[in-house]
Amino acid sequence: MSFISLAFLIFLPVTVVVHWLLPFKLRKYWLLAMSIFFYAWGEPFYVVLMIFSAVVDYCCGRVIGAKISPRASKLALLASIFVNLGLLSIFKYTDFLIGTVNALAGTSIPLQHLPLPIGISFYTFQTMSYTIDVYRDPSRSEKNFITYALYVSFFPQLVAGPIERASNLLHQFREEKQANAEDLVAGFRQILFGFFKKVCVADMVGSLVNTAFGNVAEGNGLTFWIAGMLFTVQIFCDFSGYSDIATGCARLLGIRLMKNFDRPLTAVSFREYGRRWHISLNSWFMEYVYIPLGGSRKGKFRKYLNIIIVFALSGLWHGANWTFVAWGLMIGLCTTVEDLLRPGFHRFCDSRHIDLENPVIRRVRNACVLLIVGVTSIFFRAPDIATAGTILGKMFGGLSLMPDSVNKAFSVLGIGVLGIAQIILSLILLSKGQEMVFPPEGTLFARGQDGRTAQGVRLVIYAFLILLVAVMWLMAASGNLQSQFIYFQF
Amino acid sequence: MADSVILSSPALFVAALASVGLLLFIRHSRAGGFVLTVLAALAALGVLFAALLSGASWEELIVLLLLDTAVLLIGGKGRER
Repeated sequence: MSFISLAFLIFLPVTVVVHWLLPFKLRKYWLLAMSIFFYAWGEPFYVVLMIFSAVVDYCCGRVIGAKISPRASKLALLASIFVNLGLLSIFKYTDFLIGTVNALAGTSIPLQHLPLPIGISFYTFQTMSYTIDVYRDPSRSEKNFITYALYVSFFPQLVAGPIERASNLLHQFREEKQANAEDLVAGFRQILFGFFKKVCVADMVGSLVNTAFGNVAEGNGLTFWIAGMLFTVQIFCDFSGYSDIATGCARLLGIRLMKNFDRPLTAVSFREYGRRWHISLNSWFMEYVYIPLGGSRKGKFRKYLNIIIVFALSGLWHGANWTFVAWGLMIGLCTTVEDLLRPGFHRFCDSRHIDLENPVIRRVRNACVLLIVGVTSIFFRAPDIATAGTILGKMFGGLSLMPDSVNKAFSVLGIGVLGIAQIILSLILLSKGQEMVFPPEGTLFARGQDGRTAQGVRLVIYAFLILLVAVMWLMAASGNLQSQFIYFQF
Repeated sequence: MADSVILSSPALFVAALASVGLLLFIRHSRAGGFVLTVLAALAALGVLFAALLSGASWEELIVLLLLDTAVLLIGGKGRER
């Protein structure tokens, strides 16, 4: 079931209301049943796969937790990793491997065209993190299967994350809680803002990006500079919008999910960008791949090699296509080059008394990061490496800001003055709307601002945002805009 | 822009401008309480409804709605701050 569907608008209130009406002991069963129903809606067969993954990891966790012998624990860990990576390889990477072998060896092995079970990349990583954590500390093994199954299948984060750690989620399912107004209001706000990001920004910008990437032959350099930047905004709003809705839904149920995005588009360096973007996946790779590979403890060469390996794997996780690997490698290379240049750059700035924390300098640094991210995003969006190469050739070989070129860029994108106004206003709302979810002290949505006037004004703002989302949703429903989440395909 | 219903109708254009200006004034002014904000918001919705009945495009309506929402969200310097 998609968050952007009428079925979900019925499913969520029913789930939340019944959850709080039930006695505590029955809540886990209810949530598990509703999570399975959520996943089975449209994909009934693949529920079996998810349950299989959950059962295998539960059993492996119990074997490790029982401390039978170090050998048995290691075997259980390997079994868990083998089953999860095996499922992922079969369903996600079979055709990618066959296509690569065919291209390299000139063979013609037929592609299998296996359908990709939704969310498989997310729940397999989540369950693997559980068994690795239990292997490191056997006392973390969960004995109650229902609690464990709920950790794997909890509907808000099942399909597209955040990829939760057992240490954050399992204890929350065990604790008895009462519904409280603060959680309900915060959850509602976050859901509303998530819908705004998805429906009012991502889908609107996405239709322009689709137009540009559908007309590679006609577009000029400027078209793809704009499309690259817009795609960066689209993917951020699409994915962080999903994460906001997921976190908000969980909060309505009294569960706090981890933060998945921390304003990555304001990052002033690649290191910061990596820390703020898709935090649950990047921290997963950091904890379970980068550090076991040696991290930064084995010299500079190994450190940079590890960074590039981790980003290439992260790219491959995103999709079974060389474009994603190229995207990951580019981000890894940018991070490495930035790290290598940092000491010299700081010395240069110190010698010329340039304050890197000056707001204007920060804006310039942020713009540089966004421009490079916009270029790398071409690999993320292009259907193949050859198309990405053509687009990059236009971006760097044919960029012109002459009026003719600007007119052509906007005509290929199919955007007029109203469209530009819509994008600018949406971006303003996006940056200010952040205050709604994470309110700074003294602002309208901060705690303590509960005077009658502030409460009333907040209600008017909620009403306008709901109206805005409803109107844009109607447009999407009429077939003008895309409405599926991009990360569903991963 | 030439076929914009709001821009080509002086009455609608002035009403749209006035409703956004009113929202901005009320949200910015220290006198802007809940009742006045609701009244200004209703006036803004009235203009949107009039534009809809006059045949304005979805794009025009959305830009106007975005503008109203942006003013409501960022225009506040009143009592709550």
